Amino acid sequence: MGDVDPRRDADAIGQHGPGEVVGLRGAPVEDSDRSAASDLDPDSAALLADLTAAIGDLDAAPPALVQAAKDSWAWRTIDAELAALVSDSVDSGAVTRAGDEAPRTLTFAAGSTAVVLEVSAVGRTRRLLGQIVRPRRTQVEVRTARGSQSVTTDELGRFRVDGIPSGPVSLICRFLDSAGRAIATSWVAV
Amino acid sequence: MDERTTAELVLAARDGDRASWDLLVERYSGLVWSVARSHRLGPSDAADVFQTTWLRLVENVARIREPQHLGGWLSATARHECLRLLRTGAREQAVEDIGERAEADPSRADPSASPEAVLLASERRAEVVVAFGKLSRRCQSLLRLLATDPAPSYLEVSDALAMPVGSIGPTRGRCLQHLRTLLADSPLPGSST
Repeated sequence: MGDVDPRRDADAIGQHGPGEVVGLRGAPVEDSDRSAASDLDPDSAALLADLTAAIGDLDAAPPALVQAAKDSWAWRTIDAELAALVSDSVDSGAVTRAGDEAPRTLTFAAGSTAVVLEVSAVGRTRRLLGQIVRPRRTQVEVRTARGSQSVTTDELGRFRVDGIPSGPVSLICRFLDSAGRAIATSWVAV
Repeated sequence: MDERTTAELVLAARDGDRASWDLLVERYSGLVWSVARSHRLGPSDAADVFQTTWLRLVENVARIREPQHLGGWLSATARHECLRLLRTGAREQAVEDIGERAEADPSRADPSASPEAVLLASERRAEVVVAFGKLSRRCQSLLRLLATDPAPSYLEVSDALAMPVGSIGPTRGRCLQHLRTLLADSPLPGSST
């Protein structure tokens, strides 16, 4: 599944490296696990160290984001099945330009259930128009980095949510006819 | 400093241990941020990539097949999110030039260093950042990623930039050489007197 291992081209890590080196105890050490800042001549190492120090001063990961990443632990879903992103209109060659009004279409799938989501920009917020396929009444919890809100679909599984802040979003869909496990759509930035 | 390996922390997080999760975030935040910034995303888009990448890990932590290579998984995930955001095209702000920040934000001083040493160090860093801003995009991407503390592995760089492991070393050498040439050619005004 694409979500599980995002490497498309090489599953076997060992194939990345130019070869193996042998560690102290004779165990093979993968060459590609070495630091990419190693084996530099002293001048280059000093220059890279200067650059690293400068970047550390000017462009470190913002502490608030690091804390938010820790807090994202709260979004663990124990009971829901993950619905992978199976298509995204921005991947299919349809170039969206600044100011283009065409909504972006995302499709997620888990088993025999799909969630189709149309995302439109409204200023800095996003409007989501969605549908559950196979259609049925569903409670949809829209999760963002800031919190969540819930809507209930109509009989055809359609829903609409306005005012979603731009950024990562994931939906938890709980089926009100109680047939089937809840599903959670893979996080995607909109 | 927690000495547990990344694989051990991943397995503990998989079993529900929040403290291990926090340690993973601390260990790899610099890398994930650098991947976003090495794709020339501005702060707001980089923040989206950063958050999305960690949320993806939350949802997939039980499915990671090679926990010892979490850094590669995070790098590749962040890269794909960067490309996705770049393709949407309509993001709000232009890429911020990190060189512009060199002057606005004086280096955080090491309190134990003498004032002269602090000044020299911050001048040197400003020079390096200004020269960095004149490099090619490809060199900026690679060096921005390498300038992460702790430095990424070859595998992580390869996954972050879709660059064969074998070409990282030679490209790194050329880019550092170019950076050195730029530094020699254009000292800051006043620094040569």
